[in-house]
Amino acid sequence: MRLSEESFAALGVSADVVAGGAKVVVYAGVCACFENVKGIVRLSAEEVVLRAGRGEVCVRGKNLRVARYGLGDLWLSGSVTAVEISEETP
Amino acid sequence: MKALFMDEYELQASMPLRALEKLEAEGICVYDVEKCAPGKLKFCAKSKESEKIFAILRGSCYTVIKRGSVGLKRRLQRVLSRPGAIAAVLLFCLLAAASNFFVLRVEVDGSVRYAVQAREILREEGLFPCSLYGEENAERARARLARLSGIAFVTLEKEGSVLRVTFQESEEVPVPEREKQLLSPAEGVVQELTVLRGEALVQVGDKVQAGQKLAQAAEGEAFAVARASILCEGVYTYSCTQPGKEAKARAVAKAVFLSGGTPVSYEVGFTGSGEKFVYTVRLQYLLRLGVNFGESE
Repeated sequence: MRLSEESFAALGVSADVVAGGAKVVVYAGVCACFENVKGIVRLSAEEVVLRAGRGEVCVRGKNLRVARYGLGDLWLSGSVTAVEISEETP
Repeated sequence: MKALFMDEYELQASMPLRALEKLEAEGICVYDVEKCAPGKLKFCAKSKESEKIFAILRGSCYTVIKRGSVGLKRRLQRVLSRPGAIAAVLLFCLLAAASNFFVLRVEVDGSVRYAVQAREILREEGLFPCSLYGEENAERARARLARLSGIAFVTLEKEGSVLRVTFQESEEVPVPEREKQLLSPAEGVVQELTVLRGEALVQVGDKVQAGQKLAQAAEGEAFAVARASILCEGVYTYSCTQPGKEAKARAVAKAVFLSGGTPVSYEVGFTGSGEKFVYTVRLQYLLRLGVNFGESE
């Protein structure tokens, strides 16, 4: 794994982009950022389900709202309490 | 980061989230996405992408309504819809700019004791409250203010409509003019003459007149330092109604007081009859004089 990360770094690309998976960054109580988002499956103030990479990301929280969505990036404002990632079975 | 000029849209469809995917796929960013009802979404997008959004969603099963502008564009539209307010703001700006050409207040800082003089000078140069400010007038006033005694420098600044004069007083106390000559105040004979600086013009034993120079500063010297004693003589009279010892003493005291010197000797004459009597005192007295000597009398 470390070898592959070093190889990607040498090529100048990040591992998540090459792998095509979802990248999630959560700022507790403020917002969450997602990369490689392919679409929004469900949207409500308590739960947002995103299609990202080869699976889905389920975000739970309070007052959830899509602050920005475009170019594969999605910013979710609100208090995120849980993030669940489910890989699509081949 | 949000765009400054954005529009708000309402999207209605059986699967409205699919529309967002379509927009995203075309490179359009959407902001503040909110599900307001089943099958209904609200979102914002950049104003410049409005036509593109309608073009992408045209001919499909989506109903898109543009609800209005948000952000700076909305505020701008609100402002533009009130021409009266714009005119008032412009008028205010114009008045504020025009007031800069006038002096509405004069303030004096640094040393308030020059305030009255400063205001007087400024008034004479045409710089007073509600007058038009002129750089030439200000320059003339500045030059006059700088010439005031005891002033090291002065600044004259216009801050908006306030004309501010700031004085910086000189820390050096001006040196008083020192006397250059020693004069005799009365006629008499010189008893003593000491000249430490300058030149003596008389000698001990010389008879001098009132106002005669006894010593003076030498050529090129700024002042003289000299001391002299002159023996003078004066005649003083004293009138009274009751002659006697006391009246005589009063006559002598008056003579000594009026002479201003140290009595050396005196003779008292007495005339009169009836109700008026006159004492005549002939007084010899010593006058001690000095210039820049530190103990001049």
